[in-house]
Amino acid sequence: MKEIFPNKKALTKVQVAVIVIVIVVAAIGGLVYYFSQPSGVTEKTEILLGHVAHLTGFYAYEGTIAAHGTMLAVDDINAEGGVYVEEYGKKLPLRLIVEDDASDPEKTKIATEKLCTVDNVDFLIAPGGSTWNLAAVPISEKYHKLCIGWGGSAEELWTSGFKYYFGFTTVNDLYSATYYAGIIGFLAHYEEWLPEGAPPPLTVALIGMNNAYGRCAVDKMEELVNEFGVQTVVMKEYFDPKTTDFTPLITKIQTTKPDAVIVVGYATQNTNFFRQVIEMKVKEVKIWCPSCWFPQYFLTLGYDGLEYFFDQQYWINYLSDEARDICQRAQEKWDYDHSLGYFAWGYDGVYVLAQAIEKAGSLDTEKVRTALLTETFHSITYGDITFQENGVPLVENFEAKVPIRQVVDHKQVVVWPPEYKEADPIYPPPWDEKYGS
Amino acid sequence: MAVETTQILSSILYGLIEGSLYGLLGVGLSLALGVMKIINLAHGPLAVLGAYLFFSFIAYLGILPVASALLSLVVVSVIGLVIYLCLIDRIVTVESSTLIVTYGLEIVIGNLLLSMFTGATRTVDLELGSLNIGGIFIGLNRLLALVVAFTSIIVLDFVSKKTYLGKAMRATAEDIEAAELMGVNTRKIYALSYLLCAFLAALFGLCFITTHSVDPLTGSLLNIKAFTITVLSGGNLGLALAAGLLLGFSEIILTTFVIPTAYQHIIAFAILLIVLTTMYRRKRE
Repeated sequence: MKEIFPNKKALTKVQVAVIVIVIVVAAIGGLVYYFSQPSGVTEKTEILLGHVAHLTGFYAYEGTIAAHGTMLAVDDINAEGGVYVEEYGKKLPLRLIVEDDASDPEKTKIATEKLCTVDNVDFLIAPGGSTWNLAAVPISEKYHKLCIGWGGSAEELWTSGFKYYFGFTTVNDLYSATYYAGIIGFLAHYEEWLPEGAPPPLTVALIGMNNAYGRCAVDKMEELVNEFGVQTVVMKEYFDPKTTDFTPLITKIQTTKPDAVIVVGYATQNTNFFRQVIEMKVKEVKIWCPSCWFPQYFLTLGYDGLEYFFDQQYWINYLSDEARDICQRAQEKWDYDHSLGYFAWGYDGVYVLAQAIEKAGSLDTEKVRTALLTETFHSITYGDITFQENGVPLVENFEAKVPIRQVVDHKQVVVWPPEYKEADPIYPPPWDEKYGS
Repeated sequence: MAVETTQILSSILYGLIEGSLYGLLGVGLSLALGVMKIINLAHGPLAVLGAYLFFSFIAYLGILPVASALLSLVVVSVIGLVIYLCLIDRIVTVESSTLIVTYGLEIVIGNLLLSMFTGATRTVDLELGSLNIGGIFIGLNRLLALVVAFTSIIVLDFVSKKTYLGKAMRATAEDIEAAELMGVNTRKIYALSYLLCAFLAALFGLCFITTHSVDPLTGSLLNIKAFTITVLSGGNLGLALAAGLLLGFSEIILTTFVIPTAYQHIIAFAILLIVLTTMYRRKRE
C-alpha cells in the first residue's frame, strides 16, 4: 500500500523535549490564569451585551444598519448614566460587544459560543434574519442567555420551544401582516388606481429565497392573496440565497407571464435579480416589486433601468417624532439614511431589554425573562409592546404604514395608499416604448 | 403553461453562455490535473481573486476596464507562479500533500479576500447594454464573456497542439520520465502549467464578475463546478469545454423548465455523483 507520508521520520529527542516544554508551559499558564481569577460574587461595574451582527457578507446592508441601531441605543442609555439595577443599587453602563459573522450561519454559531463562554455576556442581541437566529438561539438557550431578536421572523423561531428568545418581527403577526399587506393590498385594491381601460393585475408570482425567512414570507403572502381573493397565485418559486445567475428563473417568469411579480430577497439578491431583469428587458410583467429594505442600495441599478418598478418601504419615515429624531441622529452619525425598520428594531432590541432589566431590578436571566413576560414596554417601532410566553410580541393600536412607491422620471414617488399618495401609478408600464416592441 | 419558442431559444442561448464560462473554468483545473496530476483546489479562489482585483482596479483606482483586466491577469498569473515555486514545487509528486496544500490555499485566499474586501458581493457593470436577437434580449457583457471563453479555449487548444510549450506539456503529462529523457525541463513545464492555470482562472474570474456577482467565498462553489467538469472530461482539455457546456445547459434548461430554481446548485453534485458511481462500477467490473 502506498504510504501517505513517505518521508516520515521518528521524532528526535530535541523535538520531543520542545513538545514537552510547550505542554508544561501551557498547563502552568492555564493554572495561573484559573487561580488568578477572583472567586465568588464580584461587584458589577457594567452590563455586557453581545451582538452577533452581519457587518460583512451578503446580508451586510441590513445587518450593519441594525447594528447601528443597537449602538445608538447603548449610547443613548449610557448618556443617561446607564440602566438602574436595583440589586446593585445603582445605574450600570451598558457595554456592547459586536462580533461580525460575515452573514455566514456557521460563523454565527462560533461567534455566539464565544460571546457566551469567553466574553460571558449578560444578554444577547440576536443576529439578523431567521436563518442566523436559528443558528444562534440554540446556543444562547444552552447557556441560559436571554436573547432579543430584532430581525428573525420565521415561525420556527416561535414554535421550537425556545425559552429565552424574544423578538419584534414575526411573519404571521406584525411583520408580514403589515409589510406584505402593503403590496398585496395595493394589488387587491386595483380598482381604486387602475386607469380606465387598462388590464387589471389578476395573477401574481411569488419569488422567495430558499431559506426559513423566504419560505415563510412567500407562504404568508400567498395566504394574504387568498384572503383578499382578488388575484391568483400562478407561480411560487424559490432561489438559493447564493444564486448569482437568475436567468433561468427570469425565463421561467417570462413563460408563466404573471401580471405581478413580488420578490423576497435581501438587498444583494434583489439587486442581482433586477439587474438581470433589466438586462433581459422582460416585458411580460406589469408590476415588478422587489421587497427590498434598502431602496438606496437598490437604486444603484440606476433610475433609467428601474423606471416603472414598484417598491415597498417600511414605515419609519411615517412614525412618531421620537423615531424620526433617532433616525435623524443616526443619519448624522453614519452619514446615510437610517429611516428603515431594521434600524428601529436594532435600537428597540437594546431599548426594551434595558427597560426589562430595570423592571426586574436584576441581571438574573430568569428575573428579566419574567419581567419581559409580565410587563409592558415602550418601543420606538410599535409603541407599547408586550410578549407572550413563547416570546412572540403583542402590539395594540399599531397601524401599519407601508407606502408603495414607483420610480418615474428619475424620482421615487408614493403611489399608494391614498393618504400618502404623491402621484398616480403608471400602469401598465410602457415597456414597449422603453425597450422597443 | 405554454412555452414559447423564444423562451426555449433564450434558455439555449443563456445555457451556451453559462456552459462556455464553465468550460473556461474547467479547462484550468483539467490542465493542472492532466499535466501535474494535482487537484488544484486553489483554482476557484484564484478566479475570485482575479475578479476582485479587476473590480478594485476599476472601482478604487479608476483604471479603464481593459487595462484593469490585463493587470489582473498579470497579477494573478504571477501569484500563481509564486504559489507554485514556494509551495507546490516541493510536494508536487505527493498527491495527498498537494490536495491538502491547495485546500489550505483555498481557505487562506478566501479569508484574505474576506478581511480585505469584507463579505459584500461585488459585480462589475460594464454598462454595455443589451442586444435584441430575434426578440431575445441578451446583455452584451454576456456575449463578450462567451467570445472570451471560446477564444481562450481555442487558443489554448492551438498552443497545446502546435507549440513547443504545448507539446512539452503533453509529453510531460503522458510520461514525465520519457519527457525528461527527451530533454524537456519538466520542472519548468510544471511551473508554466501552473501559471497558465492561474491565468485561466483569472480570465474566468473577469468574465464571471461582469455577468454574475462574486463574494470572497464564491471560490468553493466554483471549485465544485470545476471539479465536476474535470471529472467529466477526465482532464482532457477538449472535453472540458464539452463538459462545461453540458453542465451549463443542464443548469439552465433544467431549472427553467423542469425543476425548481432552488435546486440549481445541486445539478453539479448530481452529475458528479452519477459520473463517479458509474466510473467506479465500470472500474470494478
